[in-house]
Amino acid sequence: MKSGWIKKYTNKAPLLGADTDVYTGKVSWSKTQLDNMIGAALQHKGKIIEIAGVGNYWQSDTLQVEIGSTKKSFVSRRLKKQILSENKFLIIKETPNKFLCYFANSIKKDPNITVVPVDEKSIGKWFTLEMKAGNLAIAYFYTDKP
Amino acid sequence: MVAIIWSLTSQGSGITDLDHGSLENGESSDIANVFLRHDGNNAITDCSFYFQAKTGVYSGAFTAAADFAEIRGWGDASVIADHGGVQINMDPTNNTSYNVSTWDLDESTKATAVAFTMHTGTGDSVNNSVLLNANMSANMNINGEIPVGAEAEFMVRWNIPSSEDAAGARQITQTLQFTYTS
Repeated sequence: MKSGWIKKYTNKAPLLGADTDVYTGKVSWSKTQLDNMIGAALQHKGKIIEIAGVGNYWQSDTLQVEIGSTKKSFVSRRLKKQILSENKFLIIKETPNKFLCYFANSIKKDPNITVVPVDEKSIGKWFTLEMKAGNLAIAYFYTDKP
Repeated sequence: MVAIIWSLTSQGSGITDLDHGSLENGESSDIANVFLRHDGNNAITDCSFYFQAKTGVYSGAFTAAADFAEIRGWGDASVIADHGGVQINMDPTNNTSYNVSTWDLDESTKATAVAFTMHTGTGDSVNNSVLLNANMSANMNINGEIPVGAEAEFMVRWNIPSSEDAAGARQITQTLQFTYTS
């Protein structure tokens, strides 16, 4: 899959949502299984963002279109996971082509990861991992809604 | 991917551009009513407008960058003779005819809750995009969100400053930014 998302489940094989299939209506994030998810990933221009761990997930894209045009372009792409009470620490593992986030209730020293405590106020909110479509810059933040 | 359709009539065919005609100094164009709809399975959210320099092939009298800077400058001007530019009104039900007072925009008031003149900081870049107002459709309940099957409407017009002294066609591109989940 050149670009698109992947849904990972506890009870079935991963579901691929290649952009080409999403465009033609063959697959849809919102109309395929949303429960029993254990992770999700998104690939764009060879870079991967991924969130791992049990929970509720969502995916969205920000696009733009000029008046009179049918051609749309990506502005940014997002993966989201709803924060659970046991998600005490955000763990980030970054390599040149992959930005992986997962949550843990305890931490151990590892020079290859970044650890960010999760504020208790974030429980129930949506952890959002965003990749800018142009320069592939990555940011993360919390939102109230998916 | 979700399709966005711009039309000049409700549920009409998609347009490829919007020509506001030829205007003299101090004149305003006719108001163009533009309809906006999509074919997504879910609502499109965080919808906002912004303007940018003409993209694609430029066929104006100057350059795309010069046109954009000039038009934004018309909007920036606080002297009535120098003020003008492109205006968007997102409250079509309450503003059905050209009348400055009903649009509530002038050289001092460059933006209201439902309308704006493109100027520095408002509608002049993706970072300054203006959220679509829910008054654009009876089916819009949230600013920036066009539900499935809904059609939004807005009005656009041009004002040429009375002090403008360079004749020639200007071009600019209006862009819709939105968020969508398949």
